[in-house]
Amino acid sequence: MLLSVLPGSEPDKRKFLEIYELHKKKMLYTAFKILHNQHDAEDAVQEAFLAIARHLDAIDNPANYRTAAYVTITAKNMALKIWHKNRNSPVLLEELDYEITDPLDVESRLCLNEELKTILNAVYKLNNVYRDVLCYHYLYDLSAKEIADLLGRNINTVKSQLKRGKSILLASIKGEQHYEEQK
Amino acid sequence: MKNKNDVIKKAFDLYAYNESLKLPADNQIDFNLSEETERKIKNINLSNRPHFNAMIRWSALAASLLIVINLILFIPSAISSRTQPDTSSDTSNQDDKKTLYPVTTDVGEQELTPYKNIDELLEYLGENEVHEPTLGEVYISGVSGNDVQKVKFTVNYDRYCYSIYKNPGTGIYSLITSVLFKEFTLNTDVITDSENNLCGLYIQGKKLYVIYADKSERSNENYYTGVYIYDLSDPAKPALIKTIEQNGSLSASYMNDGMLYIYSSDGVCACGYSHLDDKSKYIPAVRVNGENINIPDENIYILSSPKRICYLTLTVIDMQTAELKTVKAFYTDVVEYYYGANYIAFNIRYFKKQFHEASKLYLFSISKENVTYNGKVSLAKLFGFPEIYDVSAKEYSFIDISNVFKVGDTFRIFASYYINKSENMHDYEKGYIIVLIDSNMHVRYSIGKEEMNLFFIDEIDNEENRAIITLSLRSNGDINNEAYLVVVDFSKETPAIYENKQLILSRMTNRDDALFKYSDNIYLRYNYTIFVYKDKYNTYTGIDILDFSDMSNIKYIYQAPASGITDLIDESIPLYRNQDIFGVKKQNVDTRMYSVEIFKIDVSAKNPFKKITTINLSDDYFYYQYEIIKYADEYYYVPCYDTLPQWLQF
Repeated sequence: MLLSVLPGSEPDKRKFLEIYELHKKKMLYTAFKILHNQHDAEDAVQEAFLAIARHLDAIDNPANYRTAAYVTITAKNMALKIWHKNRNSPVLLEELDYEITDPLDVESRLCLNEELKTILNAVYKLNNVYRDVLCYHYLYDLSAKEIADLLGRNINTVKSQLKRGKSILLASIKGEQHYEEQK
Repeated sequence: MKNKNDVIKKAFDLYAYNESLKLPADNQIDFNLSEETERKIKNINLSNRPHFNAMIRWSALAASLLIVINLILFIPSAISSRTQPDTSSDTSNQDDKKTLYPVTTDVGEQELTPYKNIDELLEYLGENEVHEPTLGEVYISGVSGNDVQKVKFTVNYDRYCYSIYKNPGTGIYSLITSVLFKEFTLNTDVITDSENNLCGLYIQGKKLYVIYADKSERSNENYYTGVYIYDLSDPAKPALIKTIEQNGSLSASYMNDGMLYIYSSDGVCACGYSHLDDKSKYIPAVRVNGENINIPDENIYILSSPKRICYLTLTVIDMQTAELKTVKAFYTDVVEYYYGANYIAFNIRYFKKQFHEASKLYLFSISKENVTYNGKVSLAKLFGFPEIYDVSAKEYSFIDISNVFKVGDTFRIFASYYINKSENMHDYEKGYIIVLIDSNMHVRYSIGKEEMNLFFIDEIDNEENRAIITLSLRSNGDINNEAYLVVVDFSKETPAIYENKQLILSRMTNRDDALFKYSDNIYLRYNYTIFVYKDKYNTYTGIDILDFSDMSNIKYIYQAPASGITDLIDESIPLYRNQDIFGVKKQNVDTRMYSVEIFKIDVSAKNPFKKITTINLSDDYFYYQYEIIKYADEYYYVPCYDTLPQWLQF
């Protein structure tokens, strides 16, 4: 029974394979949208699974939407890394044929309370870099060290991205609330 | 939510949910990982995990010991567990087979609102009104009402023809009277009205009703809707006899059984309201010939607990006498509403302290004499939803009402649903639900599970004991979209559902252009026929005719050829329910000239569409508003609104 807590144990393997089967196509799709190249997209997916494997415990249920978002965000970041490498120069996500700021489907479907709506809007307004690290932090309880490892970034970079992202988010929320009050 | 951190967490949770929604289903993704990559990923070493590397050394020893213990103690149970099916990784739907199951239940409720009267609501909102970006209107979503006579832009009384014209240069609206002759137009009178947007006509006996909206010279913040009533004793010179006006922008209007119904919606801010204030500012104003009409409290319905002052005003006018019969006001928040000749239904969701509240449907009956409240029902309850969801995947479930009808004393509700059964996003059920609610709020319903995503429920026929539904679905594989017909038989205790999947109405594919075929609008006509408007990349349009006398086996009587009956059409075909004549506008691809082809329909003929005539038009001819009217056994095609009315007789 205690075997199950050991890393690389059968339940972990099963969990990993389940994540793989459930999300591999979506991850490939996400990477392909950025790279437009099957070979590079596959590399990105492979890199993403390597990162996911290192932080398997962040995932509690392979099938739920949080996991779908987690793995595709990871695949997206790996694809962006490959894109940067291929280009040898930084590129803005907006330059890519990859839409990240779709209208909020959830708003049309759900009745959100005002506070939540404001914060969700602020989340969508965040720069992609900050949004991803904050997402890992808030949603999957990952530490700066874990996020750095997951994304292959310097830990200090991630720490400052977390700090700056939080302050931008809070300022944006305050701004929106202030705007709502003005109205 | 206890604190801001929790709310931010929740927002990221929603963000994750939203992002996962945007991802296509696996069967919509054409490419796959190569075998080589698959092999590499499957062989990733899971023990190479940073914070476990140290632990693994310790655990190796413990593992060895435990293996021995396991072998000794748990071999029997290990063996027995192997005989059980492994369901831990089964994330597919439990029931792949479609099932239809009828249920009867009592989930109807009577309570309309916790407030005793409008004063109590105003007092409360004076202190607690929710600030919204705009003081809202009541939204129309699923307007059904194919049993009512809708607004027109040209009507005729005898040989006199009345049309609305909007001067494209000045934007000034006019009501133009003309006389129908076979070969030329004679405008006998022009009533110019620069103040109002004229937006529709009704005629009843010798009275002409001209609907208007948004008087421009008044305050920008307020909107008005009204009707000019003209006497046609001298039809050549309509005489204005009355104006009835109400607050708010026009939501809808229709006539039925000699009564005219006008809905408008408006909102005012109640911030700071106290009982000393002038209450009249917060309730709808209705004026007859400029004089205010008092609306009694019993004519004001408060639906649940609105957080803002938004109301829908309904005025009912007796068209024979031109008298205002009644005014009703419905105080509500952001809602969808559905109306028809004998009912209005409001679908309402309010914010609560918690995250999400299930919507409730408030049902009202409308008769010639009165408007009465029947009760409310929560469709979520039918699925065992809690009234207010807590934070879990279940909160993402939804029921979307598509249409509401009332036949006799019974409301018919058509909706699609998507129910998350657990945190597992793959553990869901979806399909459509047909609900009947009688005058005692007794509920009967049937559910059709559907594995494909339900796209929408389209046009519905309202025969006595039957409804025809179009289910459009995003489906699997190559086919992106298809629709089939469902016949619902209401003669049974619970609705009986007959699906007709053998007859796919539309099929779109992203792989084979030749298969691309999409049915857009379905018009029901006669008892046994349906006309289907088809569209192929806007390059051809055709009409099918179907026989649905056998509910479980709908068949084609006539299927439009691939070339269709027209070459190019930029708008839907205006099919007239009560006429055998219909017109199709088309444009010649080479010359860009427009024409209208007039067809007569004979279902029994081998080719049911007999072209009567073609009316050639100019190249700039593209009017959205026109009518086909009949006078002395002759038909007239009357373009109007964007052009001075003219007619083309055939």
